[in-house]
Amino acid sequence: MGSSHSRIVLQAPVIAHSARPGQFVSIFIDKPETSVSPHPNTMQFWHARSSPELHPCLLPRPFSIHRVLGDKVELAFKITGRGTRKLAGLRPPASLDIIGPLGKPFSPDPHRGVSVLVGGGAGLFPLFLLAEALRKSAKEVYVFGGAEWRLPHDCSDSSVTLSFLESDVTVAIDQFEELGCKSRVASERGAKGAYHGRVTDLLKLFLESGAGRSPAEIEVFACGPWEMLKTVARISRRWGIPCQTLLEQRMACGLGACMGCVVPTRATAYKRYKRVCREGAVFDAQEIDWDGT
Amino acid sequence: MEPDISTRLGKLELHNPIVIASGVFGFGTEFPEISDFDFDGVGAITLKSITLKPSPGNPPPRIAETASGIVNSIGLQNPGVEELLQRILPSLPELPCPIIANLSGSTVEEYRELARLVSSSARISAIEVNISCPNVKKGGVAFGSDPEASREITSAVRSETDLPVLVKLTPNVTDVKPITLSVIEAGADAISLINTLRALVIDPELRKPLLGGKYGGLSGPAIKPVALYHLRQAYLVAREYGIPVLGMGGIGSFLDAVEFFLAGASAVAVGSALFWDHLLCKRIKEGLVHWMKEHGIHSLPQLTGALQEDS
Repeated sequence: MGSSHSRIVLQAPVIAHSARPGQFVSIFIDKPETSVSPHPNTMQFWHARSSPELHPCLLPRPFSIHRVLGDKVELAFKITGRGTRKLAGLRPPASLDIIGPLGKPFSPDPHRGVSVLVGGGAGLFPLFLLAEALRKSAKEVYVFGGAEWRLPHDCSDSSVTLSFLESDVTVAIDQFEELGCKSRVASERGAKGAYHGRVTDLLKLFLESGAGRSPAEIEVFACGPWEMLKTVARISRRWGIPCQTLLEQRMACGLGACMGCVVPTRATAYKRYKRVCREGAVFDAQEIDWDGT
Repeated sequence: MEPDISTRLGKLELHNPIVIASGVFGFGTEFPEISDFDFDGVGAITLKSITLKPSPGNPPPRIAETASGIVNSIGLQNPGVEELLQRILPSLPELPCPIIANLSGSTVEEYRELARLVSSSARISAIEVNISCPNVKKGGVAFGSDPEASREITSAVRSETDLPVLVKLTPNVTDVKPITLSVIEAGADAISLINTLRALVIDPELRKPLLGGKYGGLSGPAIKPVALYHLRQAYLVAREYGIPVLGMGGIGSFLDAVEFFLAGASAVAVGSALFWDHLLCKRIKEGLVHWMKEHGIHSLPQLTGALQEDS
């Protein structure tokens, strides 16, 4: 899926049948062998032979659920480090220990008929499961994806077309279209075929144009970089439109026990920090202290 | 015959010597919700550290994985002792093992008050005193690096409770022996060590510390040799007074546990490894029993401190 993103499909019936949009799974990428055997060893980790990495991934990695197909769970993610690189390099038949579904899912308002989904880069992927559910409840769904293209050399030539955008984002947009969502892609560097600007501009334009909808009918769901979400939150607040954001944070236990994966909220004093793995990953946008980091 | 893996830390009797360390298990509710978590192999659990007043903890990020370890800068986020006693403990389901409370304070008086309050709960079987906290009155130097401050805190806690008192030492000292001696003289029933190693994680692109709390504590497999070193030093003092030691730091397998017993531990605790192996306690218990049988060891006291040092 291009060199910067990857997809993986996992046979996981229990998770597939209980997963709700916005939830995630926790994946143990390297497996410790701590067995009682004739040749016991303190700790042996499996890791890909082709990898020059010496160090196994210890902590499980969280991944939002992109899609569910029958008994299978599909994840789509950006390759950002050791863990994602190893995961991207896996080929069947491989088996992984995973826990899920985890976290609080999106909760669409049944009384609002228009959903606007805003995804920045890989933030678009978890919105797909939501889009499916929204379309099933016959909602009108608009999807705005923000992407930048990655060429080996820096280039500001606006003749670069959509096909050079992080191809995974355009593939994802196609998937949304197949569901009957209306979509647009934004590119700050002005790739042809994309709106020249930020994905948050698309949200603003949509709300300003009215599109025949009153704010009372609309709700916003967003996932992407922190600064993008902060802007989405601000726009939604100005329009009085409810907005749910799917956040991420470095995790250790992934279960809520260690208090590692927190984000700052506007609650006071000791209630300030909330766990992405428990109180989130979906948060009401107005609950978050966007200036808190 | 099945080896006897029971042990004691002062008056605290444990059916098996594997304790869950403070900080990784919250207040006991999250892990059991996961489908395959099993209390088999868990000798006791230590609760997340509690402070007198609720504490928000450090800004995120709070976690960074390193080579063979984790650096955390949680910052002791917890709802405070009142919430623990009024709401959390009363609604905690019955657990098949004793519960150890872990206390953190910024002044001696806070430790005293915490010990008094926590001792009133029937759910708590022992108190572990976290003296790695910065001494606010002495410019933020950890209590646990100063034998006198460690003595004061231990005395204060001792005077407020009849529960077994474990004092948890910090490895961020040149020599744990004077601290060990001070806390034993002040009435500790057991020593536990090590806490995390002081660490710094840097984001080279931002040119800033990666963690919100700036500095953090290193745990995990990387620290095992350091833990064993400090454990050994503490044991050489503690054994002169018949005081047991709870050893921890990077344990991830039963053989690691055996090494800790040999160095002087009467019980062991696991922390970080629980994050990547939820059934670790069960595996260690089974592995330990198997190993003891193979080596003709009938009970743990035969192993504790049996490290052969010629000098």
